Amino acid sequence: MAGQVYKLEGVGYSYGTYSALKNISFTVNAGESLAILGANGSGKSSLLKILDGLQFASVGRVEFFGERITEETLKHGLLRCFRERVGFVFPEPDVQLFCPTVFEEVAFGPLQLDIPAAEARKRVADLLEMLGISALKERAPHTLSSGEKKKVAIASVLAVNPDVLLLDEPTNGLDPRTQVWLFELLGSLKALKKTVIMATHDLSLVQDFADRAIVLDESHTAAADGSCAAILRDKDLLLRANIIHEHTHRHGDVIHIHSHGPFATHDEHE
Amino acid sequence: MAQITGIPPWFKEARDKPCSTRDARGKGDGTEPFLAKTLSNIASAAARLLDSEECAGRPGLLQGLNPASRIAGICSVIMGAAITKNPAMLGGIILLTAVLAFASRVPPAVLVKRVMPAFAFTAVIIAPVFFMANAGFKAGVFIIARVTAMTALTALLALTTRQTDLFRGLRRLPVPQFFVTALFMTFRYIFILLKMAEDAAFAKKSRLISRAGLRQSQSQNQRWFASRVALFLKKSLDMAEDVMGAMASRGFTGQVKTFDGEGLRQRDYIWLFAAFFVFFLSVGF
Repeated sequence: MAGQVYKLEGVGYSYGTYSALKNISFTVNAGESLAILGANGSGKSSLLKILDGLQFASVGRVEFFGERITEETLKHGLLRCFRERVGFVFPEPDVQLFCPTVFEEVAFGPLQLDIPAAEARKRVADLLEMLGISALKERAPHTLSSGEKKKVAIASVLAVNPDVLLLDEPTNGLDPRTQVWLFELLGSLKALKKTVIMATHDLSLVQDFADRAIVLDESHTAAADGSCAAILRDKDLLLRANIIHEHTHRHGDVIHIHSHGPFATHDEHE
Repeated sequence: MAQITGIPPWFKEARDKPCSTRDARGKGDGTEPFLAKTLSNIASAAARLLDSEECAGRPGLLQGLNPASRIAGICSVIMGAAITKNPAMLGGIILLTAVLAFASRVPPAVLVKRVMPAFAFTAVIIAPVFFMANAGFKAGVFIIARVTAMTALTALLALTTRQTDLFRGLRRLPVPQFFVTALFMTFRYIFILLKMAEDAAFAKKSRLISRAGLRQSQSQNQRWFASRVALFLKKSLDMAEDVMGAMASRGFTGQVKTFDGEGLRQRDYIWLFAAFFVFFLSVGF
């Protein structure tokens, strides 16, 4: 599905008197891979929840394929279509997994879509096979390891074949092998022209995967919006937004000053 | 970049039609009443907490007192409201509460919002009294006024005291240390579990596609609820074990040792004198 998926204009969100987001405006096109970067508490998760219609902007306007997303529009008919097209993977898989077995967990979405039982079973089997977790299908989700839980949580969202996938801190708590698996999965989704929006401070994921990045700073506003390469080159911006930090240490007579993160280099000597 | 293999054909299918309110198939927001209520309750609990913290941060009469004297003083006025039999005395305590709220810069609307549920609940419970003779009416009004005064004072304490100050104040009072620490930890972790409960409710909401789909299976809803209860029980047990381990690893042997905190100043003594005076007046009248 081509076109502009999201359009946000002057979006703000407050919890009581505390502002989690201020004056956020951007657009997301179909097939785009967007990273929302920011330090802890900068408002990334709130922004994703707004994009998923779980919370609603206190001020400003959010559009999904030209349709305004508000509590009212979702109530009056958009919900089914919206939920079919947008999937949200939470950072903590435990909150997302509530069925007795992995199989039922992944089948939850297709059954909501009124897909016939036989077709839903096939979908679930296909998906478990594709994600390499068929062996877990009869297991209870709470007995799985963190990496396995994450895979099941992703499978449960992919089961409705969403066009847009929202991921909140997708690499949180994953072991290296599961991280590689996730990178490969995101690569496949990108090749299938799915729109992927992820909130993260994992810069290696951003570098490998995202086309574009938006940086939320600690004042909860968008500090930058641009290509990943340009954003990741802007060390001052990343330092200011508290996404990387600078570190000084000594090797004999040489003092190194370098930023921490995947782009750290040891060539900045003093 | 390497990619996943074995992608099924249905997953490669792209939808050709955007969402539109004009041809929407489903009606209703798909959020079951209990789920919407859970989310709304969690949101209002968080908002209340933020309101309290904001109020407690303002410069004001009660905020300027030592937490221990603030708690002790308000508790003695509450006790005064609980034991007085004199309507004028009770009226005086309500007036004193209003003056304290004003001097502590607590917005009247916030205070009234906190007091209203107790006020309404008491009014409903004692409603039959109002149908009795004149004495019954007076007694009813007196009970409502007593509950209102006590609730308003408690709310005032909560609104003018940061959580950390509340526990710091309790530690200075003759309250068992372990009780205060347990209370603090319960309060601390209840918000972590509250956040988790909110995320669980959001996670379900994000996967609800149609109200009709859910209505087909009431047992699914019950299973969801049961699984969340089980999850939170497991998480709280795990967390309790981890917290205990973390305390033990830092030298905890069963007795909580803390700083003594700041001493009382002149204004605290004046406040305590005034509050205890109100209490003794209540005993007398």
